[in-house]
Amino acid sequence: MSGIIPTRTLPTARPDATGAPGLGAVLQAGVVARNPAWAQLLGLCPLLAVSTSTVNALALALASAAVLIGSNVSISALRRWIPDFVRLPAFVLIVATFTTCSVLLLEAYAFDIYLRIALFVQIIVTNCMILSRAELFASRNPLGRSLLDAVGTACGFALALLLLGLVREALGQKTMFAGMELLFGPAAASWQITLPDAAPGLLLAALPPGAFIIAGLLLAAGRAISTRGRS
Amino acid sequence: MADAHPTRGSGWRLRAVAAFVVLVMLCAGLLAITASLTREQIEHNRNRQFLDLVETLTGTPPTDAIVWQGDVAPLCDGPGDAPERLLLRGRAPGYGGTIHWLAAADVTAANPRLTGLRITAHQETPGIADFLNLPDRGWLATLPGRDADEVAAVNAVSGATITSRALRDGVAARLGDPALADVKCDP
Repeated sequence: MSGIIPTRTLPTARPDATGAPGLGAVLQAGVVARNPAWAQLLGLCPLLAVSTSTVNALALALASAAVLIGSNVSISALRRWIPDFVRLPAFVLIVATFTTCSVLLLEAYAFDIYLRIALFVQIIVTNCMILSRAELFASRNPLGRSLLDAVGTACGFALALLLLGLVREALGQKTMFAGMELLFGPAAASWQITLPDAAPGLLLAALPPGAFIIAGLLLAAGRAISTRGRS
Repeated sequence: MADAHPTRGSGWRLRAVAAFVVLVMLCAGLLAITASLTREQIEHNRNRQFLDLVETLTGTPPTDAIVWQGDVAPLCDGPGDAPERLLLRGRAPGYGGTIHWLAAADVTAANPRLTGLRITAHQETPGIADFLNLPDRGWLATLPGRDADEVAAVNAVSGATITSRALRDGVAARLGDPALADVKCDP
């Protein structure tokens, strides 16, 4: 297919035999090696602000995944028609469109969780993680690979959010999976696990300074494990 | 001449703009479809949230439809009744922007008395004006139970003088409005 404006050479997906990562590796890289939060330290603002509980973290992870997958797929599909001259405004426009759609869907179908995290869903549009995948991957690769890259990155971000949310909720509120009914309906209320009441909850874990401290400790633990694994 | 480019040829700017306009239209279409699919549910959610807020302010769920007469709505049990409680809404010029508030007032006495007050939207400085988000404690909790003169006599919040004074004066002016006595339920 020829584009409206032949402006740049678009690298195509190379076969595995040449040394390029395969589809599985693309997916795995997003989750582990290139994890947006733990490896690249991107998207930390919503990560730290929203991870006060697991349900908040999961809602933001779902919204981020919807925007990331939608924008990556759209940009990859339209990459030959988007002029290099206006590619950044075009990417921002596409990301903003999917962000607004996510906000509307959240407000319509998960209103209570929307009231909690609306601000941080709205600023997904400024998340470097999403724009970097658009510029570095989706605009240079075919649809399938871009979709897998988006799914991998979204899973990596979701894992980081859920891990931090679980730890903060367990330490701060002494519960796990509380409030899941806000996302999954009344039946999910029984998913809540209340931890033994042996010690009082650690208030610091629920507050912003606690988010920084716990995120730092988790990051250090992850680095230590990966370093030990390599050696 | 102005349209020429060493490698892109002539007319490339026009084609770039055309491609961008097409993209804008595609995005607008997607937004319009999503908005139309979610509009009804969002309206329902917002209405439910408003009714919950009214119940919080008055202590009882509204039994009749809330009909605004300007910025005042009588809480009625039937047509033609003289309302015992009114909903009041207003805007106050805060430090960072407009403060939107919703209040309930008891109008059974000669001077209407505030029974509840909530801030529904504001752009005041976080940290300094956090008391606006805490209706059940702190400065906001001192206002219910007062009439217009008593509200006007409340001290402003130190450090957030412009915010609290604007809100206090706005609520006091609305409570002291003599037109409140003439509000009737819809016949």
